[in-house]
Amino acid sequence: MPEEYMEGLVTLSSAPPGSIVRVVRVDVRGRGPYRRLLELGVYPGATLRVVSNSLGPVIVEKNGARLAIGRRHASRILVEVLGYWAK
Amino acid sequence: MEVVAALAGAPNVGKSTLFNMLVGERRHVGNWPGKTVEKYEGELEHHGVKIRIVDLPGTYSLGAISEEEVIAREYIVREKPDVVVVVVSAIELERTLYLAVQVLELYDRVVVAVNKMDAARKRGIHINESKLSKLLGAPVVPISAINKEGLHRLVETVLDVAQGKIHASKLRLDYDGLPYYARSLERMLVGCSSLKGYPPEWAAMRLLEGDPAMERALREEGCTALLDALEEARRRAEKELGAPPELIAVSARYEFIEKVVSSVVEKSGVAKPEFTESLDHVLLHPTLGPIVSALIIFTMLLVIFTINTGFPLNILLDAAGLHGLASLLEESSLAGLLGAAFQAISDAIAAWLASLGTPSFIVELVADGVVTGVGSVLSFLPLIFLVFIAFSVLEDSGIMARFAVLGHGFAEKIGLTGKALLPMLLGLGCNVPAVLGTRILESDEEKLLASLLAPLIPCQARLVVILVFASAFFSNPVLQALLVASIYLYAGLLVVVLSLVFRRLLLGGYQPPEIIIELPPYHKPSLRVVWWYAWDHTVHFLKKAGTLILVLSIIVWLLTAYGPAGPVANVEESYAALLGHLLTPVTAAMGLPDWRIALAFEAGFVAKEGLVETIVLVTGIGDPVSAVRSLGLTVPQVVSFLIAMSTYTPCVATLAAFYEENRRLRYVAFLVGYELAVAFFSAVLAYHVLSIFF
Ligand SMILES: Nc1nc2c(ncn2[C@@H]2O[C@H](COP(=O)(O)OP(=O)(O)OP(=O)(O)O)[C@@H](O)[C@H]2O)c(=O)[nH]1
Ligand SMILES: [Mg+2]
Repeated sequence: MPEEYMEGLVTLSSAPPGSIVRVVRVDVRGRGPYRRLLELGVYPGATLRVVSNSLGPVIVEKNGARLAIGRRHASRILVEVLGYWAK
Repeated sequence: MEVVAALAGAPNVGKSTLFNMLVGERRHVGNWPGKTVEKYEGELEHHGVKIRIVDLPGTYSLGAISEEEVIAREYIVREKPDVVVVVVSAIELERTLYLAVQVLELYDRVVVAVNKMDAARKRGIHINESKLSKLLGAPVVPISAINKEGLHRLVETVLDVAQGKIHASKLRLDYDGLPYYARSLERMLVGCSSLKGYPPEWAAMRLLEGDPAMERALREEGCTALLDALEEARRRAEKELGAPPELIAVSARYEFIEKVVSSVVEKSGVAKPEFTESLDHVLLHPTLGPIVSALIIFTMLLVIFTINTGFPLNILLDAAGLHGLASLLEESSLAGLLGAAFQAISDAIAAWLASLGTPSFIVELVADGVVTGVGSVLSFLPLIFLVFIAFSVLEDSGIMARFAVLGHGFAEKIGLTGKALLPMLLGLGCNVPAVLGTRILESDEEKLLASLLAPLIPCQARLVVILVFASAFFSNPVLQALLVASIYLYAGLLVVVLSLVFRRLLLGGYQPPEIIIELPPYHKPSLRVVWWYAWDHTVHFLKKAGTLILVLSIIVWLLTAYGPAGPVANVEESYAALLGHLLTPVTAAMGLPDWRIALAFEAGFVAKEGLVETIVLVTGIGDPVSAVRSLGLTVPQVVSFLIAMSTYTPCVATLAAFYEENRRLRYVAFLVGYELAVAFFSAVLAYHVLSIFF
């Protein structure tokens, strides 16, 4: 079934900026990009903060390290919103 | 005895900084055999022991996804360096430890250098080094490469490991059922010689995770039994363990890393609102970002132009009535200083040779031909160097990665990724660094595409020619500006259209990949790092391309100095003029039947500045603007000339850079050929269309 409709879950491309999310599934096409994302810390179970989601690529932060992920990739990463980051 | 130490690490951890601090001047830049990836090697001596240091390419992992990863991994496995120093960053410990873990799984003579301790202290990050060392099973040395902190201890530790006084042990992680599937592969590996040298256990795990480079080697060797078994093992593992093997492996490594990080890192003090946070608010803002980025690039280009030739500040000063200051600026610009120096050298050599009674044609060959040739090699360098400085500042500060993210949406439309945008934009300064800069791009297709398109971008040399023509034929500044702008717009249009054509016809419908880009924390660029980068790249280019440029400049000089009747006093009798006459039917089709213009095009092949110089030479009028005005061109002719001039062929230096990046003569021939064709047809079209109106 299409992951988009799983309860409580959204794609990373539609996660609101400022939200803290946990990665649930990485379904990115292509062996190279898939591996690269895993190796850069975007693997199921990882916690990310969405820094910006208004440009093309989505920008996330994990333990101080920032990463820009192309929109098409981001739309194939399923996350669970855990909460919001307060300044 | 000589100790070989390799530096490994994720991109941006400060390997190159450490390398330069360790070896200083005793370094050598080259390429990895058969690759365009740079290889740095250097030497240092410590208590009488010579240590050779090899800077491996920065990679996120040893997984052979990219060329760099293959190079780094093969080097460790095949060359077996005495020690591998894995550099990690104290402020991005988690992400940079990933590679360290992989190296520790592969190799046991490892030292872990935790760099950027200075930045960590500022952020209140403390790292318990002895705990880290215990958990990783390898010696750990905290350093700050940029401040030369901890380097002495690092070198001592390297020697201790090399001499066996300290033992590291290979790291073993719990891979949750995967080893069961790897073991059956391990047994079969013995029969496949192409993977000899890799520890079998490690190789089997890598294969299970999926490793394109190893699989290719096996296929070439014909080890099909193993490949079949591998496919079966991967399928079974995924089914029985409930996840693809690579996911299980990466998660296991990160699980370990997270445990390590949480037990060795301590944060103290109040977290200040971080600089990176606030600057990213601006630079990654959908509307502010592009504006600020454009301003940054525009300012940098202005500064580069002014230092190089005095322009455009000299014009502003002139307009303000400060003629003295304006000409002082021109004279003290790099191009002005070099020009004056070469004139003086050439005069001195001529006088000296003549005083020895040397025949006059030899005097001229040396004083004019050779010195002019060397001069033209060197005249390229300031601009190349300055553009490299800009490149390095933008990269070192972390701004470049933001540009790539910001510009990706636009770049995608012209078939490139955001990463290609900055090299292309810096092409407005000089095409040579633009073409050389395409090496940071990930795929071969994109490198080829970007390096074919970059030479279309008008560089400063071409801007000068455009300005001379604009001010020679238009007195109205608005019209001048319009003319300049339309040449640039046309170049932009060509980039867009030709990208489409090349992707269709040449690259089989290539589409740019999606980006995954790390955004490093911002940081004040270090003068030293910027200087090294620009200096090394300029010298490297000079070594590769200097001879070619020299030889071609001398040939062009010979063509202008000699004619069928021997040495000529007047260019009009030279071979070059003869050739110019032969070319006039072609230029006449573009509305430019004057043989002197054909001659100028010949000279522009070496350097675009040469176009105006040649016109000065053949008209005998010293002031460039008046010399050009004396050609008496109409508006359609001016536009036709400028369009042809800005696209007809890259200069020799750019061609040399292009060859350096692509290594195929037929690509060079294609580049020149397509540009000549585009220039010709554009100029013909422009001339005839404009002739209707003027
Ligand atoms: N604060 C701080 N910054 C450092 C230190 N060492 C290096 N840097 C900075 O880290 C950035 C990356 O340095 P490089 O030496 O180019 O890193 P690298 O590992 O060679 O990077 P790649 O060649 O891209 O893999 C630069 O901006 C350096 O100025 C350090 O000790 N402290
Ligand atoms: Mg480096």
